[in-house]
Amino acid sequence: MKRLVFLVMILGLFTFLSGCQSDHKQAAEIHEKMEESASFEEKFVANQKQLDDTRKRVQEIYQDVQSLDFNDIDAIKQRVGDHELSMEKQQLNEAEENFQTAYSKLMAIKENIELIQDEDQKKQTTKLVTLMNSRKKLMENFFDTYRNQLKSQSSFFEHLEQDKFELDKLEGEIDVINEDSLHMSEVVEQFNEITEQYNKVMIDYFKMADIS
Amino acid sequence: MQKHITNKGKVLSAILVVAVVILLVELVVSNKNDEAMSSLHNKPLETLSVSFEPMVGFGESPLRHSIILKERADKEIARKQAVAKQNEVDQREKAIYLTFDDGPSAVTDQLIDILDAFQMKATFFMIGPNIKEHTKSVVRMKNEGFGLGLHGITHEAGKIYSSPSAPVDEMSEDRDILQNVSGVRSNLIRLPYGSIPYLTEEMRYLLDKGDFKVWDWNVDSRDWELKDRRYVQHTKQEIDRYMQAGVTPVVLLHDKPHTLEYLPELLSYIKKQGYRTKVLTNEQPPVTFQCEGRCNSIS
Repeated sequence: MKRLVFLVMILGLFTFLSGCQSDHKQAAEIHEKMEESASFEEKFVANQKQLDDTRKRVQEIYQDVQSLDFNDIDAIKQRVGDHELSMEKQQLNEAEENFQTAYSKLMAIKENIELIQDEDQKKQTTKLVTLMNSRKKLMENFFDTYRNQLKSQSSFFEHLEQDKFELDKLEGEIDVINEDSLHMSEVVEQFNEITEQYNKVMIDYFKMADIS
Repeated sequence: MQKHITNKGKVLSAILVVAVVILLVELVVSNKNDEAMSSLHNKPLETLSVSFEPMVGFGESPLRHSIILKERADKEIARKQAVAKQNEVDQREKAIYLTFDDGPSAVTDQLIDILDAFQMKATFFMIGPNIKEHTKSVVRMKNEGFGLGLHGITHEAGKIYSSPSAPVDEMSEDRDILQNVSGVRSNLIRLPYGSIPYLTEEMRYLLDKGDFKVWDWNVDSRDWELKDRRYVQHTKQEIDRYMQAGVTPVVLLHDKPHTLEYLPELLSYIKKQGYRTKVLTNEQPPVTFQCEGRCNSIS
């Protein structure tokens, strides 16, 4: 009888330790996937910085054009930011691609979450997925608005290039561009807030999982 | 003392040994993972430090200003053509437009009585607060088929020309007041002291966008200055001069007691000459003083 009790205790300990070992293994895999995702996030952040620089150049062009008289058609045509705008489009596509990849890589941790036995760890990792989904939603909104803005900017410069100096249209386009800028600013602010929350949850999780 | 282990005991012992071995292996592997993990660190995701500056300054830019001038010049050509066409019709009818500014007032009903007595029509450019004060006179004007126009709210040059949007703001408010009182939505406006020199191109552009028709005059009765019979004499001469030149007179008068005092004399002359008074309408191309370099901001 004593032997049987001893055996049950040993098996219980074994099961417990095996469970811990399994969560640890999931954490290691999650870590790996997150690192992979983060490498694309870094590229995405770099793309955003490039976009920021290009936007500044477009602003300079816009300021230049504003200082001209509409009779200086040749000077206006020389300055319109076709090149910068197409560059901006390309950088935006790259940023979107990198963000999407980062997102997909991160979503791969779902299969690990299912295998986590510790409830707290499971909760933390689920939070990570939820936060990443929120970031994705915001970024999709951001990319849509950005494309809309680029369309308005292209249209604005096209009108100038084609000598179509209709003030109502030009002012309408400027209004849309500025509305979009304001909206994107707000989206980025929210995105940053969620990113900070994401970082905090990630650190907490790895502490729980004893990987830090 | 020697103890015998039963078969059942042997099996249990074997399971125990295997379990311990597996556990040890797991621990070793785990340690290896931990070592590998210690070389990793959890790098936080970077937040975005980007800015989205609005495209500012278009409102005051040389480009916008030059476009406004171009648009205004194009519109001016069209306006002149339309005015010429209207003038042909008016000349055939021997038409004359009488306009009264600054009302309605305590003497407006008397003014309407005088016009009625001569069976003549006129257009009133009225100030918002005065419309509110003399609503009955305004309703009477409408019912009797007089022209209803707007003259702003403050009648102070320092206010109505204080910013590019100030004229359109005052006229819009005045238009709402008139519409509330009379049900008539008028786009006819006359700027206090006329559109020269303080109504800038920018102000004209904004008024145009608001559908307002800026009416000046070509015959200034000078009733505001002379304040006696001399204004009648002066106006008669000016009307004749314009009629002879083939230009339909648009006469500036004021809704003031001293104007009314000598008005029958003027109307009598107009009737005697066979001129026909008409009212201004929203559809009519306006007689407007053009800047031609003479406009400047009051501030």
